Amino acid sequence: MNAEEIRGILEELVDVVEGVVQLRYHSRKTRQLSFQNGRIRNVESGRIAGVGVRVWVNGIWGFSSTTDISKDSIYKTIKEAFNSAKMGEGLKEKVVDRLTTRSKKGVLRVEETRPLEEIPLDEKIELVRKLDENPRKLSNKVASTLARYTEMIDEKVIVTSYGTSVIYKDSKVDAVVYVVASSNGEMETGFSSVGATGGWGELFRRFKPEDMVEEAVKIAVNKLGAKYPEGGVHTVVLHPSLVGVLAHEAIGHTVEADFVLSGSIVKGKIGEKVASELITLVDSPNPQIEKGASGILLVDDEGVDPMEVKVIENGILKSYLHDSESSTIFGVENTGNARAFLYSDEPIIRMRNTYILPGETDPEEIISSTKEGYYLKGLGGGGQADANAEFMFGVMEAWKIENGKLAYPVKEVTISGQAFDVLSSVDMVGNDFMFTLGAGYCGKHQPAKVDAGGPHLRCKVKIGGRK
Amino acid sequence: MTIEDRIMKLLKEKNVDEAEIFIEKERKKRVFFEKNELKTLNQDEYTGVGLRVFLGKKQGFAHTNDLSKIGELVEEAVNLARNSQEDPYVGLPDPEEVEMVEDLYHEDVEKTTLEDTLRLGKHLVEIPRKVDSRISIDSAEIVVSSREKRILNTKGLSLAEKKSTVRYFVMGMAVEGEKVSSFDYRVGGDVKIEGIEDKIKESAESFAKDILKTLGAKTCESFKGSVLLSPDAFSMIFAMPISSLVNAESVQERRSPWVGKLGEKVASDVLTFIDEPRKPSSIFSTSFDREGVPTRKTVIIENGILKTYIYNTYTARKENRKSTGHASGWYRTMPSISVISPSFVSTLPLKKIFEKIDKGIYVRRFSGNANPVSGVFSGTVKGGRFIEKGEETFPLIGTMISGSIFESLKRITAVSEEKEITSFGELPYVLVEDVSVVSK
Repeated sequence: MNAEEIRGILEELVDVVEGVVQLRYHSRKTRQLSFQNGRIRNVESGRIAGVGVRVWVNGIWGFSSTTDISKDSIYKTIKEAFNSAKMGEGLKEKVVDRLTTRSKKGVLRVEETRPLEEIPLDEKIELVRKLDENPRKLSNKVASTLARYTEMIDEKVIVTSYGTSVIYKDSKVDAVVYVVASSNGEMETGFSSVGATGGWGELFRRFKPEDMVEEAVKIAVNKLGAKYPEGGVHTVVLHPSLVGVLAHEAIGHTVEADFVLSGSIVKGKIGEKVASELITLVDSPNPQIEKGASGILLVDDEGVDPMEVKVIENGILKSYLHDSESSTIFGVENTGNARAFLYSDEPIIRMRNTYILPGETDPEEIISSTKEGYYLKGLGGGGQADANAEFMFGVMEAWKIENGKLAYPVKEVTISGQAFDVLSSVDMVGNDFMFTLGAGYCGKHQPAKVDAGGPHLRCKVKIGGRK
Repeated sequence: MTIEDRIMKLLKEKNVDEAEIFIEKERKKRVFFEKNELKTLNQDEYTGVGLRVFLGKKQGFAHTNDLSKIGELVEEAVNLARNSQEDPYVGLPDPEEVEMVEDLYHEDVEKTTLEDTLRLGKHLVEIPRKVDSRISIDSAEIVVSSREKRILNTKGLSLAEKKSTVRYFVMGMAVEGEKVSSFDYRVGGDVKIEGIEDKIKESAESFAKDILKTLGAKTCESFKGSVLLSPDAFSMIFAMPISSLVNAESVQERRSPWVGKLGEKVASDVLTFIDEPRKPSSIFSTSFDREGVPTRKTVIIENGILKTYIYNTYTARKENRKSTGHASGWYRTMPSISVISPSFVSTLPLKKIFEKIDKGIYVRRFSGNANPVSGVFSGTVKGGRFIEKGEETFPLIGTMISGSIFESLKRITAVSEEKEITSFGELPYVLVEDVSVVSK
């Protein structure tokens, strides 16, 4: 059955029960290839497809899914979701009487330069082989290598009882190289990645495979024998990769309306100053901001037309991120942030492309005007943050700044603090801009492909050191 | 014709040398709560198939949940194998006799209705707020599932196992005016319905009481000393990194600093780490691994001495030995390697461990990194408390701990008798000395 035929069935069935109905067919084709230490590790592919049905009755969602894409089976699944929702009737204290939606129609497609499906398997295998092999050519300290390529080709059909009827296609792709360098019994890791929502052209729009190899090797080798940082609060210059992590992980999650409702630190703070006036933070689904940004979204998984959100504007908290229910609770527009990873996942509030807008200062000037501090780049290991915006991130690559110059590399740097305090301490914002989290997935009950970035920033953070 | 028969027939037509079919079938009921309230009632089922094929020494893998497209699945797996490269070590294990682990499946779980699940879920979210109204549940979930896995291969292996589980989590914080406590959570579960209400009650109460203790947190002086890790913090800093260090793939690919350390002292005498995947009635147990190799009790570290690495068939063949039954994964993944049900031999009751601490901290959650390659761990203490003379004195905020996993393993001085279910297994509280604590 093709997408148009599936759309026909979903349109026919969307009114068979009362309540608000969201029908979402989602087929995902995946490919994953990896090499390690000169040998192929895996060549895999997968196809997962099904229809997820959500029915909203008196404030309760019933959710069911089926892998059988026949009219009978989808009908049964809708009935099941409806009956489930009815079961919860009367159990909720605070019920809103409607959902805030904005419908969308049409056939949507995220542009791909050299579409993934047209690239022969051989070429993909060759890419991964080289990503794995080349680090060993660059340094004899490289002890182990691993390279991986992953693609997801998605096709969705979303039909809702409030008028959405779309066919939506996009591709998500990423490549990573991971290096272990070793010397005198010491082992250090380096990592480089690229990711995109788009095709081959978007994947390598900024960094070529050889740039990735060079970066990963450099990071690992520089850490061998490097000093540890001094613990304490320091002036730091953050590379866009960490600005993205800060924007997404430490700030972004606290402004997701579901977290706000359960009491995150920004509850009730709309209109208040929460950051330096140099800071404007945006969460945007728009493909116009940068072709290939991984969080591009043309329609959300509730079938809502998504919009750009200024979360913080010149330091003032302006908006949270919403789905159909939270926007009604707060009495605001639905921002279209509801996303689901697979047909069997329920749409929940997620970010898209989250970034801080560039300012006016040349990044080199930011470093040269810093007498003492650290230059920090890349997320090393998992980043975590809390509802009170307290965060802790490992840093992949770090340099001590002395008298305006990168003096020497340091290793095992972790930074922590309260994200809004950190954003309030920002005194310089670069005029550059980069999305850097495109290879990453955000985890919140289910994965989501997102992107994040920004310019270079100078601020103060706590660095974990060895006492 | 069964799915297996259909695939085998297609494989024969394609002259495939060797193949393995892994089928997974799950039925589940799920109730999800958000912001203290019921949000979603969910029921689902799927059948998924993962197919590995071998053309000579070339391997390909494909998976699907669309049983109407079995032909495409076979086509794709064969195509990938054809395009892959030769590796002398790929291949299937020889079938072995598998003794089934007892009591992993209860029919009453499969028969549990969505209404029953909802009733259990209501307990989970109501109990913490009965303990104290300042508690705010961010989210809570209960999932009742019955799952069947089947595996067969061209060497004549054919196995099936049914498992039932009831799993839950509750996550939230305490809010008092402007004060917001740290996030905390509890996970739990069982293979049966009987007695699950008591378990839920115990978890929900412990979650609530613990989180209240973290309101009004402050910093402490920085020092180097005793750190008591909760089961969850222990899993992050030690249990998971150790599992990666003993993974034969990490060892063979030179990503593990424990290369060549068999028989050497890697931890203090009090640490004995055993993988116990065959305990009856445990949600973590299983009778055979992702390749159909029987699971077994494996002593990995005994009184601080590293005894073995863990293998799947591929890594075992590289060393001309047999798999230890640690192939992990599901229908969507090729067999990788992991510990199945980590278990640590206890040395003291928790009360006695507290008594040993003159000055130290208790770490409820660890939010940070523990890197098994460089050995460095560093991160923020969440829901932490300061301990003086064996008593918790005040809750902590803005506090970090850091050190070397390898050095700290040798400074573990106690492992509790009390265990808690974490997402990584049922784990103890562990006391470590000489950890650097930076606060303020």
